Parts: sequence; structure tokens; C-alpha cells
Amino acid sequence: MESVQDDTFVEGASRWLEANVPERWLKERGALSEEETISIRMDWDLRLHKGGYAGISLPKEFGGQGLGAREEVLFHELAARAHAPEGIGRIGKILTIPTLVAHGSEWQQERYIPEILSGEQIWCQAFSEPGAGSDLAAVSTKARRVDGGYLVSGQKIWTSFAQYADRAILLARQSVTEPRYRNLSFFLLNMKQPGITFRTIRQISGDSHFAEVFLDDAFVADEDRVGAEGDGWKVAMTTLTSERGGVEAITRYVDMRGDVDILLRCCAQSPEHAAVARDMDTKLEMVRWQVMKALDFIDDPERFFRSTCMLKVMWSDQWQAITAFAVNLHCREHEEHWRNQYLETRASSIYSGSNEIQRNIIGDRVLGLPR
Amino acid sequence: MTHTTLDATEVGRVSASAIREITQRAIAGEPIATYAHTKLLGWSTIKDGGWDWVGVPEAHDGGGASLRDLVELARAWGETCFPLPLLETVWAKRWSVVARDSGGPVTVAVRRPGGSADEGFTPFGDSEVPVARAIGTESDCLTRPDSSVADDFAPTLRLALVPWVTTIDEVAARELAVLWAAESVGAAQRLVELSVAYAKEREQFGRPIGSFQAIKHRLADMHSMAEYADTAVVWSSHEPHNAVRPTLYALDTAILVAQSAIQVHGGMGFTWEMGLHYFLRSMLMRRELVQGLFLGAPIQELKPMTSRSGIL
Repeated sequence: MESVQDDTFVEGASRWLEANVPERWLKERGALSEEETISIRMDWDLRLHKGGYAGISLPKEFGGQGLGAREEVLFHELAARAHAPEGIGRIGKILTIPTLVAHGSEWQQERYIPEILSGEQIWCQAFSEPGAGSDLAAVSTKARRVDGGYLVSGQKIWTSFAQYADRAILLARQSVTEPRYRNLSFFLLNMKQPGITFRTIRQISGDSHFAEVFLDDAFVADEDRVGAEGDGWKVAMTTLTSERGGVEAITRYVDMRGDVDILLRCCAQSPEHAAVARDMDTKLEMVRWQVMKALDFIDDPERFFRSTCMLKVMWSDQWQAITAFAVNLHCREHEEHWRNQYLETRASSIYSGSNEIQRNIIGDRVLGLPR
Repeated sequence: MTHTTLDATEVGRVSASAIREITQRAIAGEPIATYAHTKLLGWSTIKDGGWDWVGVPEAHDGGGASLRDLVELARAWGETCFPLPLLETVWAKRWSVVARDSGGPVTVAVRRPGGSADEGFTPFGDSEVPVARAIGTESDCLTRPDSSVADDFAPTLRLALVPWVTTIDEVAARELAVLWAAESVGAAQRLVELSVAYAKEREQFGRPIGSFQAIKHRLADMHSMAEYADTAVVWSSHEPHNAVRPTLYALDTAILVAQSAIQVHGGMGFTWEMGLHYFLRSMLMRRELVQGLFLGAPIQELKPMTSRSGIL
């Protein structure tokens, strides 16, 4: 089947990307300082909004473009080929917005969604804790009831973009009496207030994408609780499903496409290496086709989940395999890139829910295996 | 061209469910270790339903199914791996007037990897089925060889050898490869179902073995691999020009699923009687046939996909 509208969309987006992907990013991406990288990524969010490519599949009533999930995926494929940067607003767009659309109040939707789309407000995710990683329901950060809201105290960890974030989606234990899974509440936390401090974590690559966040009587107003008291786990499930689903996978595909394009160049002189690289190219394209195939079932949640539940394991395992192969190629031109990517991608099978947890979810929820 | 859906159309879904019904009725609960060796399904059942004509273009009074639709049919067929040349016939009639005129089933001869160029490997070559000399060319013709099973490794395929290799149009060859791979995908999906059911039922240490993470994670990977293999044939059916790599990927991945299915079934999985090996044997030989098909056609060059044209 063909669609005229899609072709127009593709043409427009291709032209826009060509005109907007920053020259410095294309030419010197590997050599940019962290500050420069962040500034390009922040600017990218503003450009996306100005160009009409923020919230492509979000309904117009929420300030989105009102197009389909297919256009969202198409745009990411084009962005991947154009080697576009990734905005720093990814947590807001991929996690906060779907959560607010599903569970947020009208006030929350009107107050927060536009500023995420425009790129003005950066969000982070304050879920994990030192004692609550894979066992996320064990969060012990406490939300204490006070007049007009809550005072939150505790420690969060593995928070990406904490140092740049204006707001956080926060999971905290709000009840001491209710049982597990019913004792949590979901909050929208203002990160720019006294009572919040953070410390960046130096990772094995030497970079610092994550931070620890310390909450000491940080205030959250009543109107910033999403869902009812005790509904936090249920609301967080929406967030986590988005985090591990198709849109997340296609944004990862954008980064991986860039890596595989470099890999194909590194391997061009060796037929033996080129064969491996082409195999990796096929497997990478499988991620995109898996997402595209799943889109046909988007109105059938069970079937959709059957085809998307493995995406997180799929792209993260592959990314690790790509960098593990590439770091042993001794390509002098890209040596620094591959060493860094090799170490960086060790995290991909851990974050967004470890791959072991993902396999439990497939076993329990999709295959119905006994617990 | 932009696809707004990758899914099959009505004709694909209808023919797949008809094939499931026909094969299930014919098997009547018999295990594969039995039905693989006995002739339970006559060709007339296929022919009377018109299923051998489902891929023939509408202009020639056929079902007009697309390659994507035929993938559905091939997957359904692979769930039982019934020993009949359905896929070969559906494909041959789609591409050849001569095959359509022959009325009955038709099969092909492809080069055997590692074999000589004038020797063809023929699925179902023992059953008095005519073997094509050429398909999708201007001089298509069929011959009824006097052959017998030369390689009984896969009982459901009954491979014979004939002294020629079918000349096949390049696009037609890719289509056949996609259908053969799709059959193995259907088999892999069936093996996931069987393995999940077994892991829920089989108890050790007082618990179903499917509750152990070591087994659960293996099954999760089997589900994922069967999904990837399916996606690979869906991709191939939409981009036949790029089909070489995803088709081989689908077959390799289906074989990994079958290997895991045997492991999940433990000692039982290793028995002849349980029959998991019939599916695995079929997959291994389908992979050889597909490799042979790619040898025969001038398409062994695997091009890097730096420019894609399917979705965009």
C-alpha cells in the first residue's frame, strides 16, 4: 500500500534535517567537549519544536503534531541517516508526556506538556535507589504529608540529566501501612529548589551521564501528584513500558545507525571484517523492522506487547556486540571512539531495566510461565 | 514507495487459517513421528480449495496474493511441516504458465551447496511430481524424472537428486527463498509454543521447570528469536531486492530456536519419538536449499544496505 501523505512528510522532514543538523555535530561529533555536546543537544530540542517535529505522534489537543506512530518512526529513521543529534529532552518526551497523557490531570497536561515540547524544560527520572534497582517497588524515599502537599526525603541514583533538569518524575513511598505495590505515589518534582542536591557519578568510560540525587524535605504540591495516593506503581508501569518500547528503541536505533555506518567504513578494507559488519548491519535494521511490524498491532495491546517486549534486549545486546567487535579492529582513525563506545555500551544491558528483568517480564507476562 | 502497513491482507490471513484447518484435520492428533512417514493428506484437498492457485496473479484468475500474503501461508504450513510440495507448487504456479497448466503439484531442483552445477536437489522428488526445468523464463518446462529419495535426512522434505538445476528468474528465486524461510519461521513459532507448554507442565524439585529463571530466560529468548525470524521474512517479502541477508538470518535464527526447544525438553527432546528433530532437520535442509538457490541465481553478492528503499 502507498500513502501520499507519508511521502510528503518524508520529503519535508528530509529537507528540514538537511538544513538543520548542525555542521559541527556532523564533522566533529567525536571531538566535542561535554559542554559543547550538551549545548548542541539543547539547541536541537528548540529546533525540533520550531520545525514542527516535536511530539510528532502526540494528539493536537496536547500540542503535538497529531500524526501517527508511523511518522514518528519515519522521522527517526531519517534523523538516523542524517546523523542528527539527540535532544536532551528525551526523558520529558519519551517518559513524562506518555505518563501524563495516560494518568495526568488536565492541569498537569496543560502546565507541563507544552514546555517539554518546546524544549524549554528538561526532565529527569528519579525512580532507582541504592536499594531499589531491579526491585523497583522497594523504593524507600519517603513522601510525608504536609499542608498543601508533601515533603520528600531520600536518595535516588542513576538519574540521567539531573544536573540540567528542571523537573523530575519521582516515585516515592507515601504510605507506611499499605502493602507493597500499593504504598507508592508518583510525583512531578521541581528540581530547582533547596533541599535537592546531586553528585555526578563517574562511569567506567570516564564520562558522567548519571547522578545521585539527595532529597532533604523537598516540597511537592498536591496538584503535582499523578494519580491517586498509592497508585504510584500503576502509573510508573506506563512510564516503564514507554521506556522499554518502540519509541525508545527507535531513538536508540538512531545512535546505533551512526555507529554501524562508522563500522562499515572501518571494515571496508578487510573482506572478513566486512562480512561481520554487514551481518551487524542486518541485525541493526531488524530493530527498525521489528518496530515497524509492531506498529500494525498498536490497537491490540496484547499483540503489540508480544512484538515490542523484546526490543530493549534486542538493541542493547546488539549494541554491545557491535562495540565489542569494533574495539578489536585496531582502526586508528576511530580507536578513541570505539574504546569509549565499548565501555559506554556496557551500561545498555543494565539501564531501562536490566536485560535479566526484561526476560522475566517476557517469561511471566507474554509466555505466562509460573513465577 | 512508502508502506503504511507491513501486515498481510485478507487473502493472506484467510489462506493461512484454511491451511491450518486442513493440516490439523489431516493429522488428527497424530504425532509428527507418525504423520511424517504416512501419506495422510491427498493433493486434492489442497487443489479443491484452490490453495495451490492463491499466489497466481488475478489477471490469470488466481488468488492474487502478494509475497507478503504468501509468507502467512508458508508460516502456517511450517507449523506442521507436512510432507507435500505446497510451497513449491504455489510459487511455481505464481510464476509459470506451464506450471499452471500442469494441474497438479510441481517442484524445483536447486543447486546443492558443495555439489556440482549439473545436479539438482529436489524436495519431494520421489513422489512422481514434475520437476521444473525453468521457471519465470520464456522457455519454462516441466519434466517427470525417474528419481528416488537421495537424501532422507529430512523425512518431511524427501529430497531427491536430478541431473539438472532449474533455471529460475532472479526475482522468482528470491521469492522462493522467502517462502522456504517463512516455513521454518512457522516451525520455530510452533516449537516455542510446544516448549512453553512443556515447561509449564514438567515438574522437577516439586515445581514446574518454567518457574526457574534458567529455563524462563531461555524461553524468553526463544520467543524473541522467533519474533525476529518472523520480522526478517516480513522484511524480505517487502524488499525482495534485499532478501538475501534477512532470509538467511531468519533460517539461522529458526535453527537456534529449535536447538533451544530440544534443550528445554531435556532428555525427551532428544528422543526420535518426541519428534522435535523433524522440525530441526527440515530447517537445516531448507537452509541448504536457500543457500543453493542463492548460488544458482546471480545474487550471491551481499550488498551493504547504505541506501534503503523499502520503508522510505
